[in-house]
Amino acid sequence: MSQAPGWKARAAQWFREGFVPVPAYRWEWFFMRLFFAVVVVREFLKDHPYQDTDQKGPNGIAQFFDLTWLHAGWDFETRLGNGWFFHAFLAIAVVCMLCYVAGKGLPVVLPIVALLHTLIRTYANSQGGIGHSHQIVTLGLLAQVGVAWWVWGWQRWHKKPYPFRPGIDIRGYYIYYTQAVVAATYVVAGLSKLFNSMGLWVWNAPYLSYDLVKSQRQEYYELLNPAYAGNPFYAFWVVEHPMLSRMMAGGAFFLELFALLALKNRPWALAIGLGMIVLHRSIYAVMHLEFANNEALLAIFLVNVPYWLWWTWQKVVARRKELPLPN
Amino acid sequence: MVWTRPLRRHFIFPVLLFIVLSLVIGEFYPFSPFSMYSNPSPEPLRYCYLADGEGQPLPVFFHTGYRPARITKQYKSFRTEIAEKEERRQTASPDYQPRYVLPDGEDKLADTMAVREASGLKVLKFLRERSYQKADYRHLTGGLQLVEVAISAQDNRLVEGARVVATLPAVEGAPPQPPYEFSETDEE
Repeated sequence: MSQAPGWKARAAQWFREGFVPVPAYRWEWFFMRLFFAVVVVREFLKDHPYQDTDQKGPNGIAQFFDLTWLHAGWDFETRLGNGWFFHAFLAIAVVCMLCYVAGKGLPVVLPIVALLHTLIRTYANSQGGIGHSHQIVTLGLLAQVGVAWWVWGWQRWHKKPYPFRPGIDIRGYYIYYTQAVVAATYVVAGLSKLFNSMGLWVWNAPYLSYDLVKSQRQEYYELLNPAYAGNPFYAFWVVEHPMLSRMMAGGAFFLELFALLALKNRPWALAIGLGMIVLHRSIYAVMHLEFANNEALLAIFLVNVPYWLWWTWQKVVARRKELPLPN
Repeated sequence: MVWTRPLRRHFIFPVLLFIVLSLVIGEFYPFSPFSMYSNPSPEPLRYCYLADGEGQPLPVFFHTGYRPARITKQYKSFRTEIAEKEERRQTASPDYQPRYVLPDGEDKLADTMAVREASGLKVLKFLRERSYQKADYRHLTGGLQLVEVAISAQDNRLVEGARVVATLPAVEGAPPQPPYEFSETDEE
């Protein structure tokens, strides 16, 4: 009598299978490009990075290059007439993203847009305070640049087609590495929590109540909105219920740390993507911190609604075919 | 090529490399360790807000387009920058004496009132200059204060303590600042 493999053998087999790209449909990749292009163009519609007159706290490449030329010609009152870098970058981004959606010239258009986005967000992050809600867009672009250039360079060097895994082509790689970089940012955040707190992040999580109060106050002092004038009751709840708070924070912490499980297969990507979006929505509800770009890329590349709609439809159609016809 | 075999066999390898690089490189756009809220601590958490010469809060976004979180980050960044400059100046002096713990527990140069005041003044001047890029009625020409608030917990209760760290006098001859009333359209 043969015995079914034990859990250890199954777990070992699960890991041995690796975290590899899955085959992707053309239409699926098209929808991802379309939605991602909307996110990218929306980034270039924001004009405030161009408004700063100098770089008080240079970050990134601003430490080596003066990026104040981005402000050239800017007039606060007549936005439409001046500040031609804003208009030029927007026009270039729109043209490049149209080519991207059409699937043309990705090795050329992607690095152009990645560079422009890096310039403006680096400048925005060089004003003495660093924001973290735009890195994911640049990283998504750079991941796809990496795939495009790797495959193109390999083919030029070896003078033959790239040896993709059987059943997979370059679109599977684009999707895989964009998913990977999105998930990896959460792993990085989880590891930062682990190292910076010396392993005590979950235990010290109740002190996040200070941040909850701070967020409420900062919302109020922005425009003296009376809706934020009071005390956030949930901050006080956290201080009064430390163990429950630790359990909830622990769930979020381990979700971040193991985000790379999203690369295992489509159901894992869906689960991790949905979990992360719920996490972001919860953070927004209590801390008024919005990470719209993160949620967008999670929805586009991990949750992947078009695929699951198609998958559900296929199941419905197959189920109908199995059922006997009514008399 | 032999060295590319691990890359082709283990697709996840470049991702792991990216994770290590992000943690090692630090804040270098677009790389970041994303260390926000990574070390919750019982130490008091501080933030800043803008007030007028009488201590009444001012809607900083209305006047400058900057949000309070940005001001707090800028204040903290200036404190570090000014403290480092002062530390270099002091250690270069022939009369330099190593620092000791001050009576109120401030043992870092960045935590002293002198550095706080210098940083706060820099922030206030920046905000006033920034307000001049807005329409006239948004200019910050009146007296300004930067208020620092410390949040902590005592006996399972949250407490907040505020102090003025810097003051900027009103611009001479400027008309009094009109009173502000919140409007949702100001959020745009």
